[in-house]
Amino acid sequence: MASTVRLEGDRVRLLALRVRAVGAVRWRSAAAELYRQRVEARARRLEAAAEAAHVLAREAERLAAALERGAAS
Amino acid sequence: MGLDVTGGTGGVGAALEDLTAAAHRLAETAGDVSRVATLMLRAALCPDLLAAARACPVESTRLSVQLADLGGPRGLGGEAVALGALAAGVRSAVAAYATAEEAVAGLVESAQDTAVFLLSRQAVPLSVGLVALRRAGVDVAGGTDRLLFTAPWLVDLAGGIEGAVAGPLTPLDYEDGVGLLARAGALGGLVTEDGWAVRVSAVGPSSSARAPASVADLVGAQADIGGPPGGPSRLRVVEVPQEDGSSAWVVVIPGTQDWSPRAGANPSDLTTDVLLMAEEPAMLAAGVEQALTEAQRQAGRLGLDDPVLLAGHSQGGIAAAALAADAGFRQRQRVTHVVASGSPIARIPVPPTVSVLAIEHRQDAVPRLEGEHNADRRGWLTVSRDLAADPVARSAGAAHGSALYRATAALGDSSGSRSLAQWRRGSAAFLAGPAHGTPTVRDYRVERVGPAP
Repeated sequence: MASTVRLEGDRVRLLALRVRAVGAVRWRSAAAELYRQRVEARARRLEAAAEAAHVLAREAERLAAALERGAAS
Repeated sequence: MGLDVTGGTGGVGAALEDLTAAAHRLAETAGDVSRVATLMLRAALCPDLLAAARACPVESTRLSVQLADLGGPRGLGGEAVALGALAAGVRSAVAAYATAEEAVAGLVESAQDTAVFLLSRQAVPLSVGLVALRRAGVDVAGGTDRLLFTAPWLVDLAGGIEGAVAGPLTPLDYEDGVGLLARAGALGGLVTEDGWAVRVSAVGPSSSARAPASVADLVGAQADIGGPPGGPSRLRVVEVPQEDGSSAWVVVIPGTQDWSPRAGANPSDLTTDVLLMAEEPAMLAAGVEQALTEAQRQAGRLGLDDPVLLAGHSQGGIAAAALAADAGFRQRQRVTHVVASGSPIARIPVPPTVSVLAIEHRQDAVPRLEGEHNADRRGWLTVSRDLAADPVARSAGAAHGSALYRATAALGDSSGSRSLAQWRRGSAAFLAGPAHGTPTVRDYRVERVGPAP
């Protein structure tokens, strides 16, 4: 499960990059600037979600290690 | 230098295409994020995690809650919804812009139809007034020429020609209007090619003939092929060798040479103008194809799918665009580029697969004859030059001259415009000159023969 969560975290990180690339296209008007800001905000939130997924993956690994230690003792 | 570049890769149309693509990517990403959110929710309920709750209840419960949080509405699930909404917002913005543009174009068209209809109802008094002015020694033609230079927008009214034919608010379009006028003229033997056939024969190129290495050269070639009034039409086919041993083909088509409304031996005439504007078959276009085919046959490259650039000034540009819009011609020849100077081609449906470079002078009446702006899209670039401050060109007629267009093309060649730079890169095969071998310049005489007695 830890590796799945880590893999999905990586995937979300890539998706954040994709969203950032979308924000990099030419936007002309003031309204379009607002959209660009929203796109960047979404990319930042995805990057935060990717970080959170990696933290949870580490949590899952620690839990698995604790369980293994418990089983051995 | 008064140069304005619209369309192309730096244009509004291309920006809207980019936004549409961006909206598509955002919607696609929303779907992907939604799938990851589902996986996180599944992980929160994973049997291993639930089993671990027996040994480590605090840690496993906390992890389960955190995974559910990450996949839920406050986490990735919510992000997926927000990304989908953002994609819909971008799509709506693009659609709103396109709708507003269409509404404005519709209003302009309707105003043109009404204005031309009202003017056409005044045809008799206007004619009487013009005759009276001429008799009083007023230079009406010269005055009109100068007036159109200072108020070029007046020519945009020509875009409402269907209004004169069928009244204001007519469902007919511009091509219908021109077509109806052409058919009316044909009844009196005017602007019709009935009974004529086209003949194409090779002639020696002029001594100054050379392969074009710039857009200015393409426009400048008009000086070589434009014959005197009454002479036959002449067009140029240039074979440009490529690095891989293949060839690229440049065809240069001349402007109108004969202004008689009755068809004669020279197909570069008013009859061809009217037929092309009505999007009807014209012998000049057939002659261009015959000349290109003959040149390719001579070079042993017929049917080898070489790229073709069609260039022309005034009527030559209309013929170039009309051929590029002809699906049958495109099946036989791989037209990739059109260069038109001083040509009204906005309404000709050139497909997006063909890259168009239109060069126009704001004070030139001819490119405005359709009363419509050129498309603003990635594959259609318009270079407009304002001649208001030009010390030489002071009339609409002078603004149409091919020599002045050559100078404008040279300004474009040295312009730093991003769209123009992109266009130059895309058309490099045609402007390679002798880089990969000696180009071959072939000139052809195109004439009508007949009509049958």
